[in-house]
Amino acid sequence: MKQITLLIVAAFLLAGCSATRVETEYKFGNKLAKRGLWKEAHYRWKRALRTGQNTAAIHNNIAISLEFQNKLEEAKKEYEEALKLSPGNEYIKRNLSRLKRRMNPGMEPDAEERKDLKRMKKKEMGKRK
Amino acid sequence: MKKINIIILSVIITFLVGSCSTRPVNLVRIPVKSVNTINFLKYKNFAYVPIKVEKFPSEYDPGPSIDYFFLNDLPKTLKKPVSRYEPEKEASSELKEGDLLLIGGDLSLEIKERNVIDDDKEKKGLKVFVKIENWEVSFNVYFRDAVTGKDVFSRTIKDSYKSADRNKPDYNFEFLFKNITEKLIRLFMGLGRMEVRYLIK
Repeated sequence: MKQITLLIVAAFLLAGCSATRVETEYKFGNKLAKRGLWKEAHYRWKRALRTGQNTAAIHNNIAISLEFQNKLEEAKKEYEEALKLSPGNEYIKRNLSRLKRRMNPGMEPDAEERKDLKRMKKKEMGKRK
Repeated sequence: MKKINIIILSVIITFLVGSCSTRPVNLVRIPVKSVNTINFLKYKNFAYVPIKVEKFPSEYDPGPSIDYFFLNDLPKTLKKPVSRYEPEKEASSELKEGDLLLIGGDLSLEIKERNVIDDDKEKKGLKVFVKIENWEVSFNVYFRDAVTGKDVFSRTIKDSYKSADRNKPDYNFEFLFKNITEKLIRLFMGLGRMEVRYLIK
């Protein structure tokens, strides 16, 4: 009996996982962004917004794509919108503070960002090897 | 037997769930152009005020290398001539804001010594310590409007060379100064600096 229960639980967990793999506009946008296709990603996320997926994550990612296009004021608004939907999100807070630094002449990257940059460079070097 | 089966199943479940769970963010790099790049087109003339150097070994003078960068390499980047600043000449001419941009600053060096094991001798079974130097250069640079006295750009750029050979001060400095000037050019020209953002999955 216990085994059957466990098997059912496992089946549910697996089903849950496969459901998250379903390609939504949002996730497709993320894939494009990772390949550097920011404008296309922006379009996908905007479509996701129109279909009612109004989440902090989408606003955050749209803001990054706007930053990529040098539309800094619009990006700021999107980060702020994301923070309204998820006020405690540390990642969005960091993104917004980095944008503010970018908009404020004379400010240097913070220690955390330097670490992130090093981490990314290492990762890229690893891929090349 | 039942117990073993349950344990095996729970291990499988843990692995399956573990493989599905992912981190909430991806780090992404975005190229950014600095907002605060200098409007070089505004300035008609550029003058180099010799950089003050501090704490360099007495046997080595970095002045010629620094002067060469500002008077030969920098004009190529700016695509404008840079002359050596002559206060008397500039004082006699009637300058207006935007006529002359002064480029200057100061550069200081800090050398820290430390003992390390000589690798070559260690291979032969000998444990011999040798002194190496850690060179740290701090460069304060300004781009200043000659009339208003306002800095249109100022930065402190630091770089270090951790295993410098004390017998080759010229090489140590050239190596550091090259890194510093590259950073400087990227900063004030706003060339393809990278920033990191968190893309939420």
